[in-house]
Amino acid sequence: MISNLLLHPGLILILGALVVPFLSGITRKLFVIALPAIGFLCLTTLSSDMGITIPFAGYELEIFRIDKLSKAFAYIFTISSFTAFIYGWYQEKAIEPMSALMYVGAAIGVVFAGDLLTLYIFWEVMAVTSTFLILARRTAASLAAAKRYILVHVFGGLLLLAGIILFAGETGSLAFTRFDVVSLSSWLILFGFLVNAAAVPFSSWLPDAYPESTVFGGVVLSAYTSKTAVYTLIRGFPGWDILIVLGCIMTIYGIIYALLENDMRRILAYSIVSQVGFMVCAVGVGTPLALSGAVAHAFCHILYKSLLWMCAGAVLYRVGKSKCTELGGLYKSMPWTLGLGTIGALAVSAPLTSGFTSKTMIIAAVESQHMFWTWFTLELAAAAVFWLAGIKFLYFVFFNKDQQLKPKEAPKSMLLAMSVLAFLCIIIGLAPEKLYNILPHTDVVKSVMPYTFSDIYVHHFGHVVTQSQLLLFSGLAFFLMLPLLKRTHTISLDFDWFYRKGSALVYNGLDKSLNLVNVKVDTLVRLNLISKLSALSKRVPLTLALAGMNVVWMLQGVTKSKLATKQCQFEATFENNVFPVGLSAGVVLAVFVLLSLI
Amino acid sequence: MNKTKKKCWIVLWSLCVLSVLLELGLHRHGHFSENSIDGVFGFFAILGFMACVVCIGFSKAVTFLKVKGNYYDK
Repeated sequence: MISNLLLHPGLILILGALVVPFLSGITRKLFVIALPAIGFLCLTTLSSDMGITIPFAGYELEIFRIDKLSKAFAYIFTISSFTAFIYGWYQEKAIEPMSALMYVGAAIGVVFAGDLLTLYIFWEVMAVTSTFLILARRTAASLAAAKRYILVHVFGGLLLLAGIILFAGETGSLAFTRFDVVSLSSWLILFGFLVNAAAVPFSSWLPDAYPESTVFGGVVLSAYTSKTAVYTLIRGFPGWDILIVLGCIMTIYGIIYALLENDMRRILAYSIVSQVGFMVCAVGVGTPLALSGAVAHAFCHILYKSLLWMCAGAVLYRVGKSKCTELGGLYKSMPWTLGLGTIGALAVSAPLTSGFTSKTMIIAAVESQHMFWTWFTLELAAAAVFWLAGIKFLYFVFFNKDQQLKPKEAPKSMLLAMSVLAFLCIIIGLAPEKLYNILPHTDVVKSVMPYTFSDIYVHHFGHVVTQSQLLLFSGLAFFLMLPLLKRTHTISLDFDWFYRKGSALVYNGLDKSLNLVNVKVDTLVRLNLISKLSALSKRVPLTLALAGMNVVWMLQGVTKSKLATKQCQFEATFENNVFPVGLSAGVVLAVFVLLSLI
Repeated sequence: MNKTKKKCWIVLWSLCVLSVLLELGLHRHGHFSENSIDGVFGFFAILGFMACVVCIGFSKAVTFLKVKGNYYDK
């Protein structure tokens, strides 16, 4: 029934966004908070038989596909946007909540799209609307970052579109299901998804653009683009081995760059790359447990990463600075922000928090497939990212050198939103059964993973001890090596160098090399070759004509003294082309006679 | 070193030692085979320590990637 579209949480948000400019003040603020809550309530009523399929140009478009996988992502998208709009209570302008609603609505549209065309439309709406969250900061840096952001996403979108067109041509269908056949179309679609997943080497747009967004924009952006991409990978490419390698590279890559970075929000952006690596790796493993682990980790990651972005945003909102070299000693002024941010940092991997639950599931899935080196990389990354991204960010912002900044504590709305997320991080860490119940393969997960508090922390105490050891000893190394982590006023060169600096180098290179060729060719052809050809084209006929005339003059018995004068006169007549018409006609006739004889 | 820092160090070292002592009471085994390395006593402590050392060491090796803030404005 088409009326089921009224229950589509994504459309509720998108249509609601159109109303936002007509509202103001508290009405608007309450309205934007209510929309995701309504979306969440609608979501709870959806069942798989309520999907909608429509015919279009000879194809069946499943514009609203409802299953556990889509619902799991839609749940976390509505929850996180609900908290994000509480956080954004301070917003007075309509542009940001409006863009955010359309962006989140489009992200939900992607996860409910059962065909590639519907998916593509929502995919592009996401790219466009999210750009406004970067532009809204209205700085030269954000404008430039937004330009690069949209160009990268247009590139990714075009790859996706090309893949979809080829796929439709090959199969005669637009259904978005698992891609079993390896072909050019599936590779193009995979690359399109990987651009949004911030997979290396397509990752640099994320740490380039997100930190340039507004305070509210950063919180919203951190949750959706890369996670919808993870959703599409789970749906389309489970078990593709290349994703295991790519995921492992991403986990380490994100940590190394988080270490190099000075900007607190850029540290968190690289941490996203690292955490999405866990999910991509799990998709590559492809077993039901691994895929459920990827969903669970996406869910938990959105919770704790939003919390950390909120924490960083609160600091930026109050202090107006985001570089670690300019921050420090804020623990006295913003203790609540610190406390809630600490829960977010702990939730990356620590026991009793959400990240511990979801990472354990992915690592257990890898263990069950006996992939030692993948397991080893993920364990190493789990320990390192906890300290080198999460705790490091808090340490340099709230402790380290006291910069004598005395800002006010974060606004109450921000603290409230952060408290909701912190509560969810802890509750999922203590008793994750509710989360497991919404995962795509609940039965498999519950048969393998402990899901009650006593089961996780008492019956599997050994696991808690080893994971605590992992984190404590990495913490020991972190603090012992802290003097090596001095912050510097620098940025890090990433793959965006190729299109930011590289493109200028290519332009200059082409400018110099092609213009050099241009000058050389001009000198050679125009100034030398053509003038010589011109001279030659005059000289050859003159020489031939003169030779002929010499014979005529000899037969006429012209003397040598007069011959030179006649030759000069002839040359002048030839060059000025002032032969009598009768003579010219006679010569032409003679030539024709000769030709006809030949 | 001020008192708070000293206390933090004592807490951290104590927790590390405690986690190793707790492992003594566990009957652990490797997940990949009977004698795989992850079953060795103290493996996770060493892995955790090495995780940070390796990542920080690697980041020091690639400091050439760090450039001045106005690098792209030139």
